[in-house]
Amino acid sequence: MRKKRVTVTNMVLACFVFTIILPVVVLLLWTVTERWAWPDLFPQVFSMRALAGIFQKGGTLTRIFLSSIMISSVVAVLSVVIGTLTARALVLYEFRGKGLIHFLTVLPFMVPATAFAMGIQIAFIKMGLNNTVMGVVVSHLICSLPYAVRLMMDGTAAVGDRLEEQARVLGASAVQAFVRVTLPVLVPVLLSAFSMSYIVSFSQYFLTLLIGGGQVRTFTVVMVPYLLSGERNIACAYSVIFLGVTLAVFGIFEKIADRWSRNMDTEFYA
Amino acid sequence: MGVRIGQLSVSFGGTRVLNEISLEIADGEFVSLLGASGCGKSTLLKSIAGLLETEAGSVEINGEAMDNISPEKRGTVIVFQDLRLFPHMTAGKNIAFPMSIKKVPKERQQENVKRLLKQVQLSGYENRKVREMSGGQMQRVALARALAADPRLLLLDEPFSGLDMRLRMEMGELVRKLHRENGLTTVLVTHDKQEALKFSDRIALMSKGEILQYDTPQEIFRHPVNREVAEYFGRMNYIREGERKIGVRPFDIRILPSGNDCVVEEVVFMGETAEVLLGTPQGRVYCMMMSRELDEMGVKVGERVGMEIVGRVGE
Repeated sequence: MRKKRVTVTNMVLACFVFTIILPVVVLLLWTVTERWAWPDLFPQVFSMRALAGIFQKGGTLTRIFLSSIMISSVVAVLSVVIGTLTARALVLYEFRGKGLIHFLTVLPFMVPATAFAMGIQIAFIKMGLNNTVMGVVVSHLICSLPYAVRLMMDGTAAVGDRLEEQARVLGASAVQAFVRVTLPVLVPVLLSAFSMSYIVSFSQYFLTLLIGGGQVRTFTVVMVPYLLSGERNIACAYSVIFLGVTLAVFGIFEKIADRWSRNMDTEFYA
Repeated sequence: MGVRIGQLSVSFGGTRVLNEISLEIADGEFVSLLGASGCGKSTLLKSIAGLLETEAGSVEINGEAMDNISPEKRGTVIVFQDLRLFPHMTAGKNIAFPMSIKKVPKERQQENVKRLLKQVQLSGYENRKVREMSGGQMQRVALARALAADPRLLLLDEPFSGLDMRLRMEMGELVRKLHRENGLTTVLVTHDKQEALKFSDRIALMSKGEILQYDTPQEIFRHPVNREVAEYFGRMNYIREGERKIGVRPFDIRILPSGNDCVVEEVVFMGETAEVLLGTPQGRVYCMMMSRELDEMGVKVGERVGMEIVGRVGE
């Protein structure tokens, strides 16, 4: 029985290696490859041209990077704030139309971005938000909010209002109870919601291009044309940077959340 | 002055949970709200603390109407059944919480935390994390934190229900001691009649959102207003005596080895006490006595004995 279980685990691990690790290795190899034609198993010609090319554009690249990070950070902060308040309303309060609002919060999960992007663009042109950073931030928010709301709803449901009730009878006002008790207990979930929203915003291509109109340049907007043009080594070098940023964001926030919740006995997602 | 509750009603989704409750608690009194689960005791406690919206009626604390007073301004502190210690704070920080809200200087906070931990017999636990403490220790921290808020009224919502028998009694005695030493007015919600009888100045027995009787432990035990109250405090025998039926507690039935109008049907050993089931001409009668006394009497199942009523409920 035990042996069978080990075999199953090994098979799952093998699948994992093939579907995730192998493509990443190929990606890394391509960044230093000049020529890798079919049917050869290994690259024929290595070169640092792609990496050198990217680093030569150091100044521009840093600027694009900073603007991407700034846009995604703003989107993540707004998502967490709106997500926390929405989740609180949906979990802790009863009001008319609650079911409808709950449904609307997950609607962007169901409708593809390409479908609603056109509508948003027309609306934003009328509102003067097209081709602006603000417009891009708002459009990214539409995609990231469902994740933030879902995560915050689970967290809020796990914590409930028990601790706030206790804080109130110990002399804290409603705001003090929320800020000093509920918020610190929710930190691990807040960080998850933040990193999720950050990554969702960071990987938006179509919406950024459409709403930003080429004026707002983010990392993906620069990266995707290379992916489409067939310059595989440059595209792969960008992809590796993208992957690094994604992993770093998740890693850092995971670490902070872990350290923060080490002393707590609140079980999220129990 | 204490607390005065007048005609208080609370409903949840159209169901009446509290029905025109009236209750007066004197300053410095220890009152127990006794009753089965779902009888409305915890709802009454939360209504006093201002955590629930009431439908009708009034709550007055020290002569002051609490109608539009928010929970933090009422001076009523609840220790909940699930204790609700803040998981991101140490024991010391938990206890200091109400003082930090009141902006008490840091040094005074630390002194008070030390004093309170000593009072609940947990000296040196300031930096202990919540998850590192046992159930009993968490109870003590929750009590110390409630005292740190300097309550006008301490409300205890079955805080010992998760503990074993020995620890329960120990905590009960600690609460009684803290009540005396700090000159508190305390309301204890419980479903344990022994706990209520042992610690309270007065007991309010509740059922289906109403108070059946509010009296001292001796009165409510000896002079219950109806069968429901009498039976809450233990098994009752109903025996016809002339024209009327009287209520007799098992401890008020004495076995007479010399008599022969009853049959011993069953003997149940319960440690210090023993229960004897007697078959009488009027039906079955339960008798409770000290087990040592029964041993000395040497009564066996199937033997014929007599029976004497030494006390009646309501007399």
